[in-house]
Amino acid sequence: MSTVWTKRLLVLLGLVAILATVAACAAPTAPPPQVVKETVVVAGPTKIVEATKIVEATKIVEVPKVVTATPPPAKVQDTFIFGAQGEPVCLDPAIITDGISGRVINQIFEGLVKFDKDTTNVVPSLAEKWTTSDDGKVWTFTLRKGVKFHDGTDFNADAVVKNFDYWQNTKNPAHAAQVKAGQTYEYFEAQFGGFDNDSIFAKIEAVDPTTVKFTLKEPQGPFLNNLAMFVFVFWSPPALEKAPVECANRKPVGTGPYKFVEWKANEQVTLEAFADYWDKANAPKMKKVVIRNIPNNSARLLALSAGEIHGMEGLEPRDVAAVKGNPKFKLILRPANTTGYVAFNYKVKEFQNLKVRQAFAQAINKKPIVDSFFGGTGQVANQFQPPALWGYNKDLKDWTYDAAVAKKLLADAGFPNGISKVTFDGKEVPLEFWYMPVSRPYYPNPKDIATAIAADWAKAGINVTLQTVDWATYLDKRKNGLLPLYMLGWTGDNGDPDNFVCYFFCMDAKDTPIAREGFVADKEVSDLLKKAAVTTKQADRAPMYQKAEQLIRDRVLRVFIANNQPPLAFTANVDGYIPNPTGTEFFNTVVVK
Amino acid sequence: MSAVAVANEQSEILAVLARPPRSLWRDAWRRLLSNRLARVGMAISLFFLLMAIFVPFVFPYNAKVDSDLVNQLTEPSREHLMGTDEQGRDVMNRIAQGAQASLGVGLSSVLIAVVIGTLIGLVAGFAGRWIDIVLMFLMDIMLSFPGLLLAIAIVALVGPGLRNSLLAITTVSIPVYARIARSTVLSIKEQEYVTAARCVGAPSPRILFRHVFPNSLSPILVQGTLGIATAILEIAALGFLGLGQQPPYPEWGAMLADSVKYLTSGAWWVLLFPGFAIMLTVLGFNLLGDGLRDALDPRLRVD
Repeated sequence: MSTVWTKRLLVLLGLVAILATVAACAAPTAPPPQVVKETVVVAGPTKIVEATKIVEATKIVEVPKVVTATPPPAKVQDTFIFGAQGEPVCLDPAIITDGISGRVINQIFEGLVKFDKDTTNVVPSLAEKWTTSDDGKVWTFTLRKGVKFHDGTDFNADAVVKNFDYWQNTKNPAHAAQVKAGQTYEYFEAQFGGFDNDSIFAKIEAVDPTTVKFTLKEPQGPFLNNLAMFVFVFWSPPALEKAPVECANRKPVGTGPYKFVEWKANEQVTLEAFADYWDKANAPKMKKVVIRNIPNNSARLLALSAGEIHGMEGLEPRDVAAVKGNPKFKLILRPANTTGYVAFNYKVKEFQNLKVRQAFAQAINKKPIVDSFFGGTGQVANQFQPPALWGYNKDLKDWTYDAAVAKKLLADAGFPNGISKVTFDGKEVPLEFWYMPVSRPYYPNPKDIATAIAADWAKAGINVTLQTVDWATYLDKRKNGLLPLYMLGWTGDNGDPDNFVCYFFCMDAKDTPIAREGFVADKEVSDLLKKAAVTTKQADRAPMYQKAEQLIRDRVLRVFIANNQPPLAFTANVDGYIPNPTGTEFFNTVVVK
Repeated sequence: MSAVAVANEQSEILAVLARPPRSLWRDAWRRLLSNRLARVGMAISLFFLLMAIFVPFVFPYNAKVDSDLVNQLTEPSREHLMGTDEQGRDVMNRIAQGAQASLGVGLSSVLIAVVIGTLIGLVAGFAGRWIDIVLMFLMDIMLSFPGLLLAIAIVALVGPGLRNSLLAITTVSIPVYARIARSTVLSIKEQEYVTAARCVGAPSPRILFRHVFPNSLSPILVQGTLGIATAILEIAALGFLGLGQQPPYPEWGAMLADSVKYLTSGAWWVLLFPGFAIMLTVLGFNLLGDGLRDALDPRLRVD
């Protein structure tokens, strides 16, 4: 028995030594991107078993595996294949909220307006031009002539009215059928106030075949940005009427550059160029577009490296450098539309003191954190809005990092020995700093980032206990205001500053602080943002948001850490991919050479 | 048989009789020392034990402020013999400081489990009848789950952390000791010296603790030593899954988990050294346990 054991252990020792050599060989230079790791399966009990194996054998978990890359097959030149992080939820634009469905929908459908190229500026799409009444309540859109849906139906004002009816009228048969099937029209409800009488629309009329008039109950500042969102795009009315209720069988029919061919569940969605597309200058350059579902980030990179796909999202921060340095690939950074922040809960008595909050802000050394944990795609944030937004305040100066000043601020606030316990909701408890259990675009390495922030704080006398819990519980706790100090972030929906700042710092209609945002209560900021939301001219609105950002900074309502530019990877022969901050990209400009 | 031979044999017998009596334990100790692999195991275990005990005292370490992002993931150098990790912390120092968590939990979980498990096993084996059935039924239920899975379930229930993983690992290993204790008791119970003790009227507790318990100790000792190795693996596994030691405090399994994602960027040292630490300690305690088993086996008793 004893000898068998010994033998086993010696074999094991040998194995580890071999692995060590392999790892050491891979070490010196930046590894080529073909070095792909074998990931431990992360799902339920399987993960447990695998992980045990790893530790028991003391084997190195991830063995760099050199994959001999085959050059992309030459005959796929008429097809663009994109690797997505998951499966579309549904191909009916009105009932989805996720970007993966959104990407497919962008190619098939179009709305009145859209976001221009790599900005959040709103430009004409199916509407040629529009006018606003002086009170901002009446919007008149002139529609493009000669636009056809994929099924041959003409696009006109009637189609616009019918689509709006489908979205907002709960008695519309198609709408009612979806609600009965458990679907919601979440974005319509969120952006336009609700359904039927709750919606901001008083009247939507087809004045003539090329003119649509919207009469609003209240002026809405972000109205155009809302309309440009990927969900407010138009179905061919006859196709919508005929479409079966179940999502999987709903064949989308729009006016976009590509038309729907088939959706193989858990595999891919295939689209085909639409010959009668109205915009001849931007006619689709590829015959076919395939959007493949490859959930595993490493497997997707492997597919890209093998030439099975031409482009992908969801590149791991740690793989960015390798993709950047390899001539076989092209790295494209999507303009930042995310902000990662650290939020205070104002039910914590200590956080009501400005000096304490300022100490927390000044004790964090953001630059090295962003440089170390964002894979080179992050930039330090000093305000909530990313620089690409028109409400961004260019003149705002961030709090400087200074642990000594932070210490002094704490002492001035009555904490000469630092802070490690706080009074939260009337009870004295150790100060917990909650970090997210999952990686999100705004925080690719939440645990590492939290550890670094906590270390910075500790150097200034702020002693926190790091805490986390599963993602669903985390969000739930946050929603109910149960996290004393936590990290989270935001990815913008429609490029309107309102969608960033007001969502977080506007109190509700009765001016009660919201639990979701840690009971933040700053009436001046809230009033300013609410006013900006009902102002219609961008030139009037921009200074309001800039002022709000300045106030948020001066009062340290929250600490903003970083904007991240999500990386996309392509094979070197792909041209014309224009990344939009909102993630709504159009593939008609893409060419595979 | 010649007269010389008889005389020789007699003198040998006399010599043996003249020797001071040696206890089983002393004998076992000698045999343990004569086993080379056991000596290696003992040396390794002792090394890590001393590390766990003395390093935190000699080199006080404040994990909370330890970070130096400028030196993130630097290769092993003269300044940092085992390199630095993703927070720019010295890996060697973290391994040394992390020994306390691994060995502390490993040893104490085994100690507690041995005490509770042995007690349950002794009572079950000695009392017999329905007490035996009920106690062993409970132990069987616990044994029917894979150890680590049960530990994860317990930690998931009471929340992550080092103290809770200690609780989980202890709970999981109790039935093993209960079973061993019970089976030895069952055989010892039938021995003549127990019957003799009973005949002279010794009360049950006295028989149990004076006669049965000392004689059932050696298999438990062997299992306990091997159990330390298992416990160290389990604490590392829990740490790896993020259920054990919480950041920023060092623990080998958690160190592995944190550094796995940096392997593709060539940072082998953050993974290799904590892995080696786990492997070496486990190897040490396994060799020691194996040696103890051989040393305490009466059938192998040769002089």
